Amino acid sequence: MNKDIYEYIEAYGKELSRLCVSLCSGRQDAEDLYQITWEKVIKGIKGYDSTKPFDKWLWSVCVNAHRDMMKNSFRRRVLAFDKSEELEKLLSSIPDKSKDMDEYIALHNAINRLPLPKRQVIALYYFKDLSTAELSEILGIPEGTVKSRLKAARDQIRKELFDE
Amino acid sequence: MNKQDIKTEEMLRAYFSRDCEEFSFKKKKKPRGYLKALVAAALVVAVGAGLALWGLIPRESEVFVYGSPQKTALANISENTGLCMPGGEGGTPTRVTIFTCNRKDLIYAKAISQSGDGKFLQCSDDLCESMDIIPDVDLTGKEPLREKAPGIEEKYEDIVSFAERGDSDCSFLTKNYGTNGFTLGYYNLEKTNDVVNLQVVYSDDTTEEYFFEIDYDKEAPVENAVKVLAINADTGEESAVKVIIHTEPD
Repeated sequence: MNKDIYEYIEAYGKELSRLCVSLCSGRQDAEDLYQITWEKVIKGIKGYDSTKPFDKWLWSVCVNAHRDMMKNSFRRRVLAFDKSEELEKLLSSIPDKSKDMDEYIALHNAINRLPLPKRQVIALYYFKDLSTAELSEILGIPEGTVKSRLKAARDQIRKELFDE
Repeated sequence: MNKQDIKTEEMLRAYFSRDCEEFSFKKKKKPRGYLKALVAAALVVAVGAGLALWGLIPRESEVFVYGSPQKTALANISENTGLCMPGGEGGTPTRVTIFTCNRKDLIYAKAISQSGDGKFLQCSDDLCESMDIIPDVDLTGKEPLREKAPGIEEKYEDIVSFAERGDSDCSFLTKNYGTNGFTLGYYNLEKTNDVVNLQVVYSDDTTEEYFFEIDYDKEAPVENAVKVLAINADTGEESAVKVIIHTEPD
C-alpha cells in the first residue's frame, strides 16, 4: 500500500525543491515544476512500484515534467532569465566562503545555455552525487550517453568560464 | 585534471549544493508563471498588432524569413500527392517543408515536436547523391538509436529520419563533414497544430536552434491553410515563414 501523498511530500519535498531549482533557470519556473511534479505523482502513484526506491521514481517524474515544460517555446523565451536581484538571492546560499559572485553568475549563465539533455544530466549528477548508472535509470538513456553528456557539459561550462 | 578542470568541478559542486527554500504544494491549482507571462505577452501582441496596422511591421506576405544566405525557409504544401508514410495509419496527403539548410559543414540535426509524430528530416534535393549520414543517433553517444522506418528506403530514399507517432524525436549525424544539407518537413498536419524544435550543429561548433510553430487551419482556403512562425531560440527573434503553395503530381 502506498503512503499518503502528503507523507511523500513531507519526506521528499525539500529535496525535490532543490532538484527543481537545479533544473530551472528561474525561481518561478522551479516552483511551477515542483507543483507539476507532485500533480503528476498524484496522477501516477498507482503505477509506482513500491518495491523500488520512491526517490528515484520521483526524480524521474520530475525530469520528464521538466522536459515537457521546456518544450513550451513560450516558456523558454519568456521565463528564461532571472532578474538580477533574484539571481543574487538564488546564488547567495552557495556554500563557498571565498566565492566571487561574478564567477557564479557566469557559471549560472553557462549552465542555462546548456542544451536541455546536458543540463538535465549535470543537474542530476551534482544534485545528490548520483552515479551515472542511477542517472541512466532515471533519464532512461544508456550509461555511456550519460557519461558523454556529462563530459560535454563540463567541457562547455569550462570553456565559457575560462574563455578558452 | 588541470587547474581549470578542478576549479570548474569545485564551482559546480558548490553551485548545485546551495540551499533553497522548500516550495509548498498547492492542492488547488494556482496560475502558473507562464500564464502570468502569457497575459504580459498578450499585451505586447496587442501593441504589436496596433503597430502592424500602421505598417511599421512587415505583413506576413512581405516577410522572407531569417538567417544566412545559405538558408531558405519555405513552407510548401502539397495536396493530393499521396505522400503518406508507410505504416502510418494511412497518413495524410498533406506535406509541409518548414526548413531547408544547405550548409555543407553540417554535423548534426535533430527535430523534436510536441505532438511526437509526423516530422521528417530529408537530405536536400541537390545533395542526396553525396549524402553520407547516419540516421537517428544520439549526438553525444554517436550510437544509432534505430534504423530507418521500414519501407522508407525503397520509396523515399532521401528521407533519412522520420518520427512516427509516439517517437520523441528524429535526428541524424553526418559521417563526414562537407557533404550535407537537409530539409525539415512535416506530415499529418490535419492531426494537430504543433511546435517543432530544430537543433543543428555545424563543424565549427556553432549551433542553431529554432522553434517552428505550425498552425494549420483545414477550413481555410488552401493558400492560407498553413502558417509557420520561426523563432530563434537564442535571440527570441520571430519571423513568419513565407508559405509557397504548389501541387505535386500524383
